[in-house]
Order: sequence, then C-alpha cells, then structure tokens
Amino acid sequence: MARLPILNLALRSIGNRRATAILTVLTVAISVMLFLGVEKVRHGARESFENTISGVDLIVGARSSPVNLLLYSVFHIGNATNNITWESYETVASAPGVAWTVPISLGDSHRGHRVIGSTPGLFEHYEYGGGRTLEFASGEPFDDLFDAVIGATVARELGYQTGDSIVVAHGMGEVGFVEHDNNPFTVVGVLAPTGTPLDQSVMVTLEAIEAIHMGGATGSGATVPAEQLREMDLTPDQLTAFYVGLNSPVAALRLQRAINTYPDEPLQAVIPGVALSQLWSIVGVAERTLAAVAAFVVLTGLVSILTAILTSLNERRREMAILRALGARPHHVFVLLVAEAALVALAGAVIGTLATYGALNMLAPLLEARFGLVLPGLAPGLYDLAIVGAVTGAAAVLGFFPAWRAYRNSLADGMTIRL
Amino acid sequence: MSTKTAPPALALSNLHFAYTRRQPDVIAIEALRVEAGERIFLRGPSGSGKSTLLGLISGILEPRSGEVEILGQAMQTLFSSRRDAFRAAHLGVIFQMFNLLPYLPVGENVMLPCRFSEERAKQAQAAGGEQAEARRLLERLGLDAKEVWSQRASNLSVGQQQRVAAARALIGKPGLILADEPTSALDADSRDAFISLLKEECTASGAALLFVSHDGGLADQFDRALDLQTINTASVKETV
Ligand SMILES: Nc1ncnc2c1ncn2[C@@H]1O[C@H](COP(=O)(O)OP(=O)(O)OP(=O)(O)O)[C@@H](O)[C@H]1O
Ligand SMILES: [Mg+2]
Repeated sequence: MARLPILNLALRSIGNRRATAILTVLTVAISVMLFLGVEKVRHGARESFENTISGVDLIVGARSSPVNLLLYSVFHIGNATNNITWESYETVASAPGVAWTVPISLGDSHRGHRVIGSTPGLFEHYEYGGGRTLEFASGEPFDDLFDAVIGATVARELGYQTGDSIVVAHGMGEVGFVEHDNNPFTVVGVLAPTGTPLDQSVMVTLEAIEAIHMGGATGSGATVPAEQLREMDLTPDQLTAFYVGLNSPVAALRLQRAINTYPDEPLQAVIPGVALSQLWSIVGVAERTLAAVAAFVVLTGLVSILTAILTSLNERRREMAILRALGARPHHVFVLLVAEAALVALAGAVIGTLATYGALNMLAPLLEARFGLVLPGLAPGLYDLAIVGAVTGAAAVLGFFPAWRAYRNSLADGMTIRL
Repeated sequence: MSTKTAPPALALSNLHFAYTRRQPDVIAIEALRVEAGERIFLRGPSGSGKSTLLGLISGILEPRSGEVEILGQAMQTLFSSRRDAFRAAHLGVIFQMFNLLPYLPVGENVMLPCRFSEERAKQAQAAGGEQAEARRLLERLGLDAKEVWSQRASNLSVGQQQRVAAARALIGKPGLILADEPTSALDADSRDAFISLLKEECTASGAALLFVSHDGGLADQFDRALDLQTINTASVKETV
C-alpha cells in the first residue's frame, strides 16, 4: 500500500482548513515557546544561583543556621545575629591548610545598597559562574582608606562613574539613620555585571568601615578628620563573616568541624555549594511550580488541536465517505486524523522551539550584560528534540479520540454521505 | 477477448441486511444479476434502500447473510482488507453530490483512484498515462480539461462536478460503475446529457453500469430497468 497518499491527503486537508490550522499551530508554538523559555530561564537561574559564589571553600560566621549565614554573608539578605571577633578570624586564617581569607564586614548602606567592608583579596578570590573572576568595567580595586568600588547595578541605577564622591550611611534603608557625610568616599572602580549580589553592593576597605564608626556605632566618629584617621590603627575588632580558601579542598570538612567546635566563640563554617543547594531547595518550589504551569500550558495547546479536529469532523464525514468509496480502509481514516493531529503538533513544536532559540539568541547578550545571567546552551539540543517528540506523540495519542469517532462514523455511514 | 463468456458484472443471491441487529431487514433480495458491460437502471423511492444496496455491493457494508459476487469474485470470501482493495481496483462510484475532495484540484481528484489502486494506475498507464487519460476522460465528458485541470473542485458548478466524478469513476477501466442518483441535482437538459455521456464512456471502457434513482422517467435511456421494490422483499413489507 505504498501508493496510499494518506500523509499527503492529511497535509492537503489541513491546508484546506488553513485558518484554523495556522491558529492551532500558533497556539502550540506559543505554548512550547513558553515551556522551553521557562525551562531555559529556570536552568539558567538555577545555575547562576548555585554559582553565585565559587572558589570559596568555606564561609565562616557567628553560629546560626547555614542558610542564614549564606543569606547575610553572600546574598546580603537579613543581618548577622552576632559578629565574630578579630582574634577568632586570625586563628582560622593562620590554621594549617588555609591559603587565603577574605574578611567581610556588613551593616552600612549607600542609598539602599549594601556596603561591604573587605580587603582587596575579595577581587582576587571571589569567583562566580563556575570559575569566572571579578572584572572591572572601569577603574581598579580600592587601595586608599576612602576608596570605594561599586557593582554594575549600583553604577547603572545611580549613574556613578569612577571619580565620583559618595557618602555612606550607617544602617540600612534608602536613607541611613546617620549619614557619615564628613568622610566622602571616592569611586575608584566599577565592576562588570556578574549576576551576583555584588552588582548591588558598594565595596570599601575594612578600615574604612572602622573609621566611619570611630567613637561609637552611631557614627559620631565621623567628626574625626580624615588625616587623623589615616594615622590611627584601624584594625577592626569585629567582623561579620569571612571567606576561606584552602590549599586543598579535601581539607574543607576537617576545618569545618574544627571551626564548628571552636571553644572560644560559637562559630559556624559552611561549604557554599552545600548551603546553596539547601537554599535552592527552598527557593526551588517556585521554580518547579512555574515549570508545572508551563507544562499545563502545553497541554492546553494540545487540547486546542483536539478541539479543532473534533469541530471539523462533521463537515468531513463526506470526505471520509469519498475516501472509503475510493478504496481507503477504515484504518486509513483513523491514520488520516491521527496524522493530522501529529502534523499540526509537530509544526507547532518545531516553530516554537526555533522561535525560542531565536529569541534567546537575541536576548542572551542583553541578559548577560545587564544581569550577568548566562543561559546554558543557545542551540537546540537533545532535550528540545525530546520535547518536540513528546508534544507530537502526545498529540497523536490525543488524536486517537477524534480518529476513533471518524472511524466509527465511516463504518456506520457506509455509502451515504451525511451532511 | 477470450472465447468463454465473461462473468457477470454483478450477481446477488439471498442477500439480507439490516443496520442493527434488532432492526428488521432493510434489504432482502433473492437474486439480481448484471451482465458484463450491461447498463441497468434501478428505480426506487426515497428510503427504499438504494444507497444501502450500493454500500453492500461495494463491500463497505457487510450483509447479514447471502452473497455478493462482482466480476466473478465472491466478496464474502475476502477479508475486509482484500474487499477494500478489490473495490479500489474494480469499482467506480458516483454519489448524488459532493463527490470531490474540496482540497484537491480537479486533475488530482480524477487521478485519485490510481493512488489507491495499483491496478487502476496500470490500466491508466496502458491507456497513455494517468494524466493523459484523466484529461481525455474530462474532455469526453464535455469539460475543457485545460481550463478545469488545476481548479479547486469546489469552484465548479454542480453539473461540472458530477462530470469530474464520472471521469474519476471511469479512470483505470473498472468493471462496474455504481451511480447513486448522480443526476438528482441537475436540470433536465444537463441530466440527459450527463447520462448519455456516462453511458457512452461505460461502453467505451467496457464497464457495466448500475444507475439508481427515484426518477422513473430516466428508465428508457438504459438497456434494462428494474424496480427495487419488486426485487427487495424487505422494503415491500415495510411500505405496505
Ligand atoms: N447509516 C444508517 N444507519 C441506520 N439506518 C440507516 C442508515 N442509512 C440508511 N438507513 C435506513 O435504511 C433505509 C434505507 O435507506 P437508504 O439510504 O438506503 O435509502 P435510499 O433509497 O438511498 O433513499 P434516498 O433516495 O433518500 O437516498 C432507510 O429506512 C434509512 O432510514
Ligand atoms: Mg440514497
């Protein structure tokens, strides 16, 4: 029966109902686009999230919960329950196997953006996105007491450039409780976008944080002139947290245990990757819900194929009777309708996939430049092929229903053509 | 041809049929015979079972009992798949109206039987090729083949559509043409023209013709006329 033109007839028949067919294909295409788009962004967001910080073997802070420590030390969400002492920091920093440490001091803000007190080591050791290091869009790391480096978002939103003067406030919020406006900072560097919380941050030296707080946490020390401050020993006696890099990551677990059981102070060390996964399992609920919604949208698209075929069925009883009279077998009628459902779904899925990648390729540079979000895989892969296959297969299975009805009709109608 | 006489185009014996198991018979025919090449008119009022009978003959409907023999082939001995193939190869069917697939151009509609049957395709090849044969039949049936060839079937008038349907039934030289009231949508002039063209082409290709209609006035244009109500005992019972 190689001569049977069933597939050809299915195509021509679809062509005859072009308007409906195009709308149905479009519905499927849009639903597949939505699904693939959500999947891409989902994976991109997850990867980006889990790669917020890498190259750091341990994060150490006051004892609370691992997720809490991660939230305030990396994502700058919430506040540390306690600070840790400089002595504890020095003890850990000089422990065997420790390659480097980067101290972090939080608590101040600049117009709604967090201020991080740290050392130039931050720019050297902080990695994200699987081994990418921080890059400067302009300028260089801080060096002087009142130098500041700003993240890409801060620069964009506040319109800052290197050379600008900024004022830092104590506490958080759009307007800090006290503005330390006697000691303005100079922007010496602007970071390239990273998609990490650093984009939102202002980075200064640890000593600067200490200096603006001279004489009490409320910042009355701001009256001390800068020249005088430069001559003082501004080594802080407290820190919020610090990052630890090891000579060999294998030592991480042992050092973590040692820190967690440190007798002089309740400390806590977390392995960033582990804590990030833990945090994602909380955040991920939203992400999975989104994926489920997208899957249901695809289902809606498939049901629209079914609707289109079912409504066409009555007007096509004539077509079926003609085909039967010409020698078509009842199962050809069946195949005709299943093929129609599958072809419409295939066209929709392929168009949807291509459109998704077209859009992603157009958006990718923008996403990376503005949000540092690097989307994985910008060419259709096996996964997409599987999606196209699954959508087509599902449509064929759904097509069984109208096909079965048409099959029954064509058996019952015989030679009579019903209208 | 050969010396022995050709088998009859159609022979029915003790044929019984009902649409559902509980219903009384719609068709009950003791015997009906159409000789090879013969052109028969079968008259019957609406609802007397004409279309049902044609469905049985073409093998689309299965009789409750009895035998249908077409061109010497007993249909009941064939599996349904072979019956469908047999129909594709040896029968040409013309309906009352809406004969054509609206989404195919006229030419492809005419050549459709060659797509469904190897034998029809071969016959058309032997007659000079599928396209040439389709064009020839269209011309013979009074259509301008060049003009209608690539038109959408739905663009033609009803009378033109019926001629295209006749060309489709005739392509590839099937042995039996079944026509189910093909002229009921035509006016008197085009009806008579259509019947005489159809008869001519059946004769030219050696096909027998079974033409059913409720309009008894057409009877004298055929070799022989039958009344379905006299041969179908089921319908007699029903109408009395
Ligand atoms: N698909 C069907 N299912 C059940 N009963 C049917 C079906 N088709 C026809 N019948 C019944 O069978 C009887 C014969 O119908 P049929 O269509 O064969 O008549 P007909 O002679 O072709 O009529 P018409 O001249 O109107 O076309 C009628 O009583 C009709 O109601
Ligand atoms: Mg009828």
